[in-house]
Amino acid sequence: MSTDHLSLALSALAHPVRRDILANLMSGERTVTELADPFDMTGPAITKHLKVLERAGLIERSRDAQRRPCKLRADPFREIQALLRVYQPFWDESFDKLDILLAKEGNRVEE
Amino acid sequence: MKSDAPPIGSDATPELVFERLFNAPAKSVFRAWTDPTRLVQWWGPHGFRTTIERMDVRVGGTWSYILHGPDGVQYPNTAVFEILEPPHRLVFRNTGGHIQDKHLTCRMVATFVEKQQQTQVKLRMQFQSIDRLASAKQRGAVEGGEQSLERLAALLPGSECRNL
Repeated sequence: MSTDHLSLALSALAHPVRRDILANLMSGERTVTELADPFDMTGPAITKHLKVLERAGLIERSRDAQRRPCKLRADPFREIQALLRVYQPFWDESFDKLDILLAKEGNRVEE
Repeated sequence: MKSDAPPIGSDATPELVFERLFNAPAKSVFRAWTDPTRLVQWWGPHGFRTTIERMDVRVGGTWSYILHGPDGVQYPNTAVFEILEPPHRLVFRNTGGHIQDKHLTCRMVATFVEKQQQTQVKLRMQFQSIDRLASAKQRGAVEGGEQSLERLAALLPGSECRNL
């Protein structure tokens, strides 16, 4: 598996729990306890996910020894954005057309 | 056919996920993906046209097609079907230019889940060789971080798949 940082970021995003964690961080900094709250998971399990996110550069944890809140880092998202700028319209617009085709076919008698 | 790629749905696969709910049974949606006369009617963004040179719809079969951009530029693609489970799942490995990256290879995993006459399509683009995305990285270098975070919402499809 490739270890460049875009790969690491996309790999980190591949897990639904980590996507949820990132979604929670979009509204601001959170402590580990706050992040663990919505999940039925142990602290160490959450910490493991946070480490993956941190290694991918998607989040950073402050040096504040007591709380060590997590926050999002923008840099990797810029690269993911570059990918999305190509593929989001590709699939959005293709799916729009597919939707129209299916509606057209649905109006005809099947088979 | 066994490949050296990571298993489908592995937590470590670099992927982008796109989803859409269609008002049609899975059978019809699957057919629109695998019947060339239907596929050319929707494949590709606005202004693009798709022509199919060959589409051998069976495991190991080849599908070659050209995307024609609005500016006349042609983007040839070759895909090989890896899994065909009508009407539930379709997996193929695509090499070629989806718009810009001529040599980008990714595995497309499309799943079709029917519920009450509607079909949820989930397309996962699993990148095999991210190193080849260098050009995509360069293209994105000017983009602002804030906007990127907004677009991230596209990658965070909610929690319905938490138990995958």
